[in-house]
Amino acid sequence: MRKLGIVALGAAAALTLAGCSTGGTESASSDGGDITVWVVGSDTPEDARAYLKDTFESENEGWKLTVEEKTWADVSDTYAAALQSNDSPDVVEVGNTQTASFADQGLFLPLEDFSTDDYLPGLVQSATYDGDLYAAPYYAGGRIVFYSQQILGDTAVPTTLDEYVATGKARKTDTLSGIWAPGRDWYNALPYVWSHGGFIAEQDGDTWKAGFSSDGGVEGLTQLQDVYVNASNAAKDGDETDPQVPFCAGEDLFLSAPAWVQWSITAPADAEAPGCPDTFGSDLHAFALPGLEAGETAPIFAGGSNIAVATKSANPEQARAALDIMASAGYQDLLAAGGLTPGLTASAANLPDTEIAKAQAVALENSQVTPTTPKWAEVEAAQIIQEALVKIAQGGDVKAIATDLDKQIEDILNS
Amino acid sequence: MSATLTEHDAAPRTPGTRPPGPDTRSGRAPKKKKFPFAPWMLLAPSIILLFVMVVYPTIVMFITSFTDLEIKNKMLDTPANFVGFDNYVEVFTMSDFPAVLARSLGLMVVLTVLIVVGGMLIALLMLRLSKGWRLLVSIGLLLAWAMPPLSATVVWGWIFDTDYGLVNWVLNTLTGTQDFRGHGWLANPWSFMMVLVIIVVWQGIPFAVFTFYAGLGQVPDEVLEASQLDGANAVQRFRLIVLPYMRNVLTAVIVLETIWNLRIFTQVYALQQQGGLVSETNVLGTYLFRQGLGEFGVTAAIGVFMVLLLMGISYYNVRSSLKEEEA
Repeated sequence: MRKLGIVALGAAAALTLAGCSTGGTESASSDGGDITVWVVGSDTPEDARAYLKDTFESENEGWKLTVEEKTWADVSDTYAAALQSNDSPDVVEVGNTQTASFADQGLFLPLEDFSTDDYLPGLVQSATYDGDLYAAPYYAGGRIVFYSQQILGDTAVPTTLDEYVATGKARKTDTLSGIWAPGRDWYNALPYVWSHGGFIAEQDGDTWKAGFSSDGGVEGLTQLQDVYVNASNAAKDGDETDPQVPFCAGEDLFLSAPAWVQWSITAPADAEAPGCPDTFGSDLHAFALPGLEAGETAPIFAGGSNIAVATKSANPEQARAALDIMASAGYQDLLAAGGLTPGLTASAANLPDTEIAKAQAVALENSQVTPTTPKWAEVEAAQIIQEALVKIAQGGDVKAIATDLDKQIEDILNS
Repeated sequence: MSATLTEHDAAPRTPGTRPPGPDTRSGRAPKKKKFPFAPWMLLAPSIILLFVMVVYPTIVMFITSFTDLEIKNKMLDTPANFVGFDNYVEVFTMSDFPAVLARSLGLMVVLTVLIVVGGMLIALLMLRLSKGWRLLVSIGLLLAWAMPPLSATVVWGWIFDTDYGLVNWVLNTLTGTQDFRGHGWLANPWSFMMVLVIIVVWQGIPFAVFTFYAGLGQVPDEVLEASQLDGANAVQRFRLIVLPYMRNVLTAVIVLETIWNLRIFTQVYALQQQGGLVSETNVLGTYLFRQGLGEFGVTAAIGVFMVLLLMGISYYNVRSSLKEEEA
């Protein structure tokens, strides 16, 4: 009796741990079915989604296409779980820095007969693993600095990074962030490191050497600490989601964010995620983050996405057809019109002729990527860079934190 | 979780342990003895369910913990390598594992004590409330219990938000200062744990209350009255009469809460999304989850360890409660 109880208890314990099972309905037949496309975040414009659905469904009689929206937080674990299940989505958008890792795990089908000539080389490179192309370039994006003229007032737009930080510090009050800088926003931290000559990690023979604790790295992070402590009211352990909220509350002087945040800021005041088109969004301006010398821009992180066909897709042929539509000129033109730098180079002509679009183009001219190794995704998933930045934002010892961080990065990349 | 409860009840009636035939001295039943079909048929659904949902995954987890299984193996259809105890060695030599384990065990104790004590107090309160008030309290508890943990945690996270949180506003208003402007409740690991404890206890107490309340109804009034006449005060009545009658219920709740509180995941994970340092707030569940992408061997090793840990912790409680039943 007693033993049975113990077994039951163990069973109960195991039951609670054994995790989850997924059930799903699969519909696959040659003359009709469902195709699921996952896009990440709200940056893919609505008209592009509609274009994809309409074009696909008219070209493939009897097929239905559904676009589902995921968040960037999902892209590591949720993706890995879904892509290896029998209920896998067919086409997925994935971050450029993560593509190699997913390809390495065998989660993407290699794209055969896809001509990459007309696409952004940086994205093509990020989608190529072991000589094969695993994803099509989707769009690129860079961070630019937004400001509202009514808050900036007579203050001049800074022309160097030091001036930018100095202005941010000078204008900071209890209710106004000179530079809105939440601690976990690591993409926005990289320009400081890169400007001063630091680096993330460089390959030397077979081993990776991380560079946050290099002289330039420490210099950049020290300046960043100055920003966190003396120019920003953002949560020290906060992340970069919903930057339009403080901006629209008139609490930001400078906001460094992806170009598509302009749509969040200028969204109607009665939208589900309201913006402020009539107040602080009414005179929205942007500039490329300046570099150390006047006339230079700071190197920014070249963000972007690729699209891939899942290995477990029940209908790889139709999935590929959907992917081809998303990589086609018709679709990429719509992305460009939405202010995203399109993966298809020719579609860039469709970028809106606005100050913000130009600022992004200027900023992207001087951009860098994260180390190109499948192990990099592990560094991102472990969130060690964010953690180190939070500690720096809390006023910790920069040199010690950077040294610690470099060790963790090297442990992962060289394992 | 009803598996545990029903299994306790079912245990003494398991066929085979009570041989129906009189002549089993030889240890081997004579040929004419019929196989007891009916009881086994009745047990079959739960046995099958337990096997599919519990036994099989446990075995797979156990085997996986000795391999270097990766997503790649599954996708490319290649077998994983057996690596012996490498995964266990890796887990136990990880520099941050002891801290995670200590944090989990500490949280488990704090949460279980708060939930059991708080649950008992509210259950006793409900005994004395008038019908209308009792209904009101029950509904309030039910609402807290019925809310999905993820949504609850997100809302609590907003309440404690650094920039726009209710708590900071209330504290500023009450103290008439701006001291709490931009105070990050999640940034400090200790105050992170405080927020976490509030969320889990808030949501965990209703179950304890309802179970205890049902149990309190079983305590015979005559005995309580008799003891009162004998001069026992309220504390003595509770300790010497109510508690012994409640012993089984109490054990069940403590065992369940122990298990639930050691394997908390949703609340910690969701709260970590909103702020705080992951490496200083991880518990076993989130630690397991945050291992490398698809490193099933190491995560399974942590899982096996958690199962053994839970069985070890609950062993004493279950044993004493089963003794009680047998007596």
